[in-house]
Amino acid sequence: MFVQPLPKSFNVDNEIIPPDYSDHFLFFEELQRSYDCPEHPANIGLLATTKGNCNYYVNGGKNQVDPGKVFFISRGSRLAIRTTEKGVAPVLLFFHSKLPDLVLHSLIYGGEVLLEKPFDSLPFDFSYLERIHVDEQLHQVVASLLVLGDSCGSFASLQADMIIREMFENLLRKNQEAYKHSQNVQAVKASTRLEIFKRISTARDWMDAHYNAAITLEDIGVVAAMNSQHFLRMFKQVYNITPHQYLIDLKLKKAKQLLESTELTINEICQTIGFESVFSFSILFKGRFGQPPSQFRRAEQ
Amino acid sequence: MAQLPPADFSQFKLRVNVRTSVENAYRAWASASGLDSWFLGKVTFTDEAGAARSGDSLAQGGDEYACYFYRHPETMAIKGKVLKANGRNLFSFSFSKGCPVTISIYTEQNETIVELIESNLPTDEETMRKHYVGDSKGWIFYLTNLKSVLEGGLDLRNKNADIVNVITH
Repeated sequence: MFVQPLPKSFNVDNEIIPPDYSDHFLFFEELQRSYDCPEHPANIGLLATTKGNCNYYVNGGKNQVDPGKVFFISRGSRLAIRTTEKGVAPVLLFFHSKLPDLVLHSLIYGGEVLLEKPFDSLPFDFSYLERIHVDEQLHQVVASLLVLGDSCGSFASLQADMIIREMFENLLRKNQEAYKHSQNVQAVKASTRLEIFKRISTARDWMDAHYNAAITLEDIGVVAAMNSQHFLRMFKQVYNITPHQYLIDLKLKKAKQLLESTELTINEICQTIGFESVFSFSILFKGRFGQPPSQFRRAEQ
Repeated sequence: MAQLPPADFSQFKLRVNVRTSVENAYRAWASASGLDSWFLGKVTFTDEAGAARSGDSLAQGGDEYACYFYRHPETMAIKGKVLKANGRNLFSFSFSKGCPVTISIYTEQNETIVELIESNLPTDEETMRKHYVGDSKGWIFYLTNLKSVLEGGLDLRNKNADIVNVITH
């Protein structure tokens, strides 16, 4: 992996073909000036920021990314970067151009049969993931590469490569999962299916981040830029459960995690995950995990 | 003046003298518990049937290994295959980019020499810089730590999570 400051432009000499990277490239700079990178075809990668908000324009759409979020960009998408604030620190990680080939090859022929036939014909179509991901952990991993990239630590470069490789394998799995879910959308045109899927996924990410708040179907519909009833139908089509069931399941999984890893009382956990009644929480928990929270905790201890 | 032959960047050799027995040095390379005490991080060996070897048992040719970061135990640092293991003084495994690393252990001047050769390194300019320089730098520290651990029991790896960008891990 190579760490470099942000260039004035990424590929002025070649307006058609995305840049070909012979290694992983991490572009990073804490900007002391406004930065305006003209639109160009991009390679597959991740766009983030370690400080301030950065505006990444992908295929004409504005995506405001702040710390804790990461935008996944697919190869060939058109990228422009514009930021006027001082002190913003954009981070752009572009993968080695051969990485998709290598990872796919090893996953298909390395004993781990990951991909099923329908996806085999789409090895480079990562568009199902092309959106902002609210993923603090992924953001941390990208940020950790900055430390490794500058490090004189022994085998630092090897460590960076392995982290990137693992990150890419996870993204590939996520993309495959997203592709499968997207096929549930009943739409004639592939582009419509993709657009609906992206909106539903964005709303699901938002639910993941706000699971403990009192959110309504209307709130989620706004995030998905859809009428709430239409959103409800589409969400159910994609994930085979309603948004309400999805939220309850999220809360219960979080509760289980808290029971396993903290000393919080059941009352406190109930409040943390946004349940009003301990009684209904206990019933739902038992329904999901086979035993009430108190018994689950005793078994854990 | 005669021209020097072109440098060979496709492999490098490093040697370290260690005041220990050949057997101990071999065990430090070929067992998971041996490697845990001085190398990158926790190591597991699995045999050809896929069963994990116990910490003290010696790896055999055909085993697979996985090494996890000492400071980030959830992240796999590297995985590869044991290419040769004669049970006495020769141990070889695939490493970064699948390049073979061969460890030969022998006696010289009443001390044990651990000799490491990493070969088949890519020689195009970009990867050469990264692998030849990066890997040899990495091995120099870890061979030094191997000597320190085997001779005096002092582990030189940095264990302070707040300190980064140091050669000791």
